[in-house]
Amino acid sequence: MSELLEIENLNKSFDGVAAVKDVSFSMSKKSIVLITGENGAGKTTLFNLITGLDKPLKGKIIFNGNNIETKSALQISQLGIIRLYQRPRLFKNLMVWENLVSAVHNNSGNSFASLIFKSKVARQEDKMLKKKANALLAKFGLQDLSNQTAGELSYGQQKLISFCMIAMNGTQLALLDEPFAGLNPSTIEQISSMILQMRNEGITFLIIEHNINKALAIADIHIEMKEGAIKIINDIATT
Amino acid sequence: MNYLLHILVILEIYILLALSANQKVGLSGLLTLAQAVFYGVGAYATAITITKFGFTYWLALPSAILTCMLSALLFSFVAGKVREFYFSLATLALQIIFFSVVYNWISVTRGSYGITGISNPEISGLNINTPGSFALFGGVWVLVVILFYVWFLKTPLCRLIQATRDDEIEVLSLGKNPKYYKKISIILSSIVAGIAGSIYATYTTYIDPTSFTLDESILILSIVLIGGAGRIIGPITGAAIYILLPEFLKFLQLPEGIAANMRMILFGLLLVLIVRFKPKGIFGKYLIQ
Amino acid sequence: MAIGFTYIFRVTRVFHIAHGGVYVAGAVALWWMLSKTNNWAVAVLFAITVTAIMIWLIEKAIYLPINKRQSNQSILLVASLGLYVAIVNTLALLFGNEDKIIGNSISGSFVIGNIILTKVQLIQVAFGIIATATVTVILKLSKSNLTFQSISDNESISKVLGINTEKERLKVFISGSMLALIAAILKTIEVGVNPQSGMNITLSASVVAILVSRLNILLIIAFAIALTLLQNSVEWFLNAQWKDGITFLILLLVILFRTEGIISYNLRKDTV
Repeated sequence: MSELLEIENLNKSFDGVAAVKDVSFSMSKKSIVLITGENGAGKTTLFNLITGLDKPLKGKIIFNGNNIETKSALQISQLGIIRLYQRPRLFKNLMVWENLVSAVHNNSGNSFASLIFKSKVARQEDKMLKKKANALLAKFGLQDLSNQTAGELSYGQQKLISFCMIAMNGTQLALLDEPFAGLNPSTIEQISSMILQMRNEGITFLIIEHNINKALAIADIHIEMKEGAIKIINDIATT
Repeated sequence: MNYLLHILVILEIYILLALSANQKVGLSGLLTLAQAVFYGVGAYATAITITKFGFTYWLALPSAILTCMLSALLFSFVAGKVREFYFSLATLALQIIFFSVVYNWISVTRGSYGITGISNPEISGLNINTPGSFALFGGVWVLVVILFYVWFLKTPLCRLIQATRDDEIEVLSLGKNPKYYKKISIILSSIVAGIAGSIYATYTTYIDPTSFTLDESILILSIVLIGGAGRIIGPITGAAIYILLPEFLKFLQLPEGIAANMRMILFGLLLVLIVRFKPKGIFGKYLIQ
Repeated sequence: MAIGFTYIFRVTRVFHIAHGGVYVAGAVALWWMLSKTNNWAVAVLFAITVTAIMIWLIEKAIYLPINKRQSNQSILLVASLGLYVAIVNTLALLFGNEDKIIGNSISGSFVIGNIILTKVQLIQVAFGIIATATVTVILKLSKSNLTFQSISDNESISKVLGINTEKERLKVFISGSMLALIAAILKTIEVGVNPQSGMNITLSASVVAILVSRLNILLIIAFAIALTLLQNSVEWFLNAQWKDGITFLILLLVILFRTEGIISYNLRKDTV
């Protein structure tokens, strides 16, 4: 298997206090890696470093063979790394299908120039994407939500929709921040199966989760962090 | 009859202004207190190119639009730097600075004397100079802008502009540049306001800085908020309420002086009540929080 | 004005443009009662009552409910703008738009070297100093400043800690308005008042409120004096109309490059 993400000797400190210490690990394509640890173990800082919101003091982050640790958050997300926050962030005044279509990268209607000069193509493409969005919703049994305003959905539904957004825009690596937090068991099951299904379609997941049992059920590799450093890397798939 | 047509022209100008402000307020969530700046830039650019360089209206209009677009770039720089409350505050400052500049840059704007003798537009030799023809002329512009928005509101671009309004960080993490969508929105808004300005300048044939004050900006924002931001119908309703309110008061046989104050009192109270009890406005789609 | 505005802005989150409306209303109330009774004591008392009732209504009916909804500060600003428009036009409707001059018996002036001071100006200075000194002492003695600072820093935590935020908000609004009233009276005896005259002074005060992010009276006074000096020198060297432009250019630059205000002690980056 080829490596999708490699992290080498990553270091970051705030005001002299080390938040991430010599962290190194790698993830192969289509794997699910779980990171656990107490609050303050450096998990969130690690996410911020990977997504470019913070810059590391030292170390390398290699994504698909390219160094990304100096790139901006925007550039990194354009490479196909998406982060889902603990609270689902949807465009709450837009409808669900509009949310999904907005997630797509290469919609020519997204830029003003092509809207005017290629209006016909843009219109057809948009129609097609709407169909794709509805098909995706149907696949996860969410087709009834398509025409609802996202802000009026329940917390669990919003979370499910935010997962659909990953599938919409050609994500390669998804960083999930506590995907199971605040959900009832049946929604957790639903999300677990969505993650597994998307993994089969080629998306790699890096997950922070406190609900270790539920997350271990789907993870391939379990990394435990303590005080900014990696304590144990446990390869579940082989054991 | 001429009086009614005059009211109609003014209403058309305010509908354009309200639609332009709606682009910022409703679609981008930018509560601007400087929409009169673009109105003013459009009016002054039209007036100056016509009186100083002898441009016809059809040459003056593109130059006005271009000037508006350039000022919009400055504006989007501000919008990129600060958000929400501090954005509103920054626009308030821009508005006051703009007024100060227009008032004092006498060599260009003639300051408080204003610019006189702005010629009317012509269409194939036909001079538009009666209230009736102006009402028609303004009506065509309103129609063009409304049709534009009917189309634009359905485009993916507009969707992303609204997505940026709802959650900038999410737009960023989906790999799109939120600043681009804000910039497009601000430029579009300034073009529409500039068109309104050019109509105003050629209609009254005289402009001075007092038409483009902070009060005017507050008014434009109120029109959008009262009518309701987001859809096309909201800003139009707001403009209609504002323009027709004094006519209604006159109908109640209030003397002119009292009616003018009454209008502002009612409008101010209406704004407060809307913000307090119905934050979406009368026909709004987007909840302003 | 600046002290009142800054405290109101920092404690209640309201960018209180209607402060200008309250200012004018107080002055007009004084003028009206004075023209009816010709009795200063009655007129001042009346003005105080009018101002207090007005700000109480505004807070209870408008600001507090909006604030409870956890609205964005811009909405409070818009509400305040609406209030300002309504107040000013009501005053114009009832009392006319022209300047209202209080026929004062305090004419005459002193000459000290090259400087000519009118008696009115002396009274302004004296009362100004007395008023700010009183506020400073009260704040010091009652430890209110600490309470206000904590609400300003974090309203919900203050609530949990047992501070009656609604009461403290009202306190701030009323005392801020009283300061505005004093300023209004002092200005009115010099040049009179008209419904529009509250806007400029409020905007100037608002600039100070943005610049000073800590509730520190001396700092507010220092900034207010600096701003006034700057405005006057602009007026002197260029002309009066550039005054607002320059003032707000400074404000704009501060907003753009340092939203936290020039003097700020805790610039903590929020963790995402």
